[in-house]
Amino acid sequence: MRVAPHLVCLFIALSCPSAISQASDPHVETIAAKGNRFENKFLRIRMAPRTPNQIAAFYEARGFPGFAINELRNVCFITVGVGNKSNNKLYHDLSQWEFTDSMGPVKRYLRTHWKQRWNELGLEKRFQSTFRWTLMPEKLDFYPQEGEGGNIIFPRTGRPVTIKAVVRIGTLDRQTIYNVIFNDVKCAEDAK
Amino acid sequence: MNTLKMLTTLILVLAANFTMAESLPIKIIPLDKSEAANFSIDDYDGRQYELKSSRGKWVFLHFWASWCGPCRKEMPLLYKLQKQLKDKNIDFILINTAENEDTIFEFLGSVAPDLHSYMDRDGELTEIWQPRGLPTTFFIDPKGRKRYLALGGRPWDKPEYQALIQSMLDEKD
Repeated sequence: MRVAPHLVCLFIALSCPSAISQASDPHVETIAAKGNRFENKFLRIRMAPRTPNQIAAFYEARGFPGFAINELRNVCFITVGVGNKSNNKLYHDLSQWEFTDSMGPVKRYLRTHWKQRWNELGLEKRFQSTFRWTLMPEKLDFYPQEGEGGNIIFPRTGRPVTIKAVVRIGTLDRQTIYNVIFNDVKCAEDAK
Repeated sequence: MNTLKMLTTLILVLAANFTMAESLPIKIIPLDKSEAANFSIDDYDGRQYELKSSRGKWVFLHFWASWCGPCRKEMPLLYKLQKQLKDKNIDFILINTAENEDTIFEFLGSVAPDLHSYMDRDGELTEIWQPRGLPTTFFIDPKGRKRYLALGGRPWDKPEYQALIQSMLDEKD
């Protein structure tokens, strides 16, 4: 009994794609964004620095108490949006992103910092929850066409920051790593 | 010959599965059918809801907050959808993430006065469910299994979304 060879090939291709495409090192593309936006066929990333007044207005409108608003006024908020325009998954891991200024690496404020700080200040749990929802997810696999975003927070130093945003797009065995460089991202100031 | 038939059948089944997966409306993600953990929650009037009370029905489980733009935009559509599905085998459960009574009451009053929402007062239930962002909708099937995830606000009045909901309601075991 012979089975038609083309059916066997089709079966293998449908059931175990990895059998016909070997895993390989990811292709790496490093691209400099123009300004605070980047977009190509597969992804879009935007950075929107927020002024202290914008941040205060946002959280005041959510009922945050004054002591929390004061805390947030003194730090630098960049609202980041990432969109997966591809038909594959986009793998996001904020720990892979790099933040530097003229003095070297810049440490962003992590969720653990905020949890500790809010607990010290006695911020109600509901506000802590809302605050966490406004942060950029630390790790997320974006589905095709999915877009998510949130804030990344730094100390205010007055120095522009270079942000290397790193995402991977593709299938498990064939991926492209995109390093998108945003130069001179400045913390926004209130109008004088 | 039997092997050939089996292979052909297998290919057809696989192809049908691919077609079904591809025919889902945009930003509707099939889930793994894992069991949805029970929870209980109350609303601003103290009325309680427990997920397990919806066994035998589909559940449209929607997480939202008044501060999120897409949630605000979607609310009138949710209101229409809820009215449309009122007598169907589906429970419409809205859960507000970490806002207080006044905010919820004022907000719903301005966009969809008859829409009802439960309150995740400290945001902990939302964290357990891990929506990918707000808004997010989970569809739980009558057996209490997580079946679909809707990313962000969806145009529920569009034919493809209406067809999806109808296909759930028509689903036999």
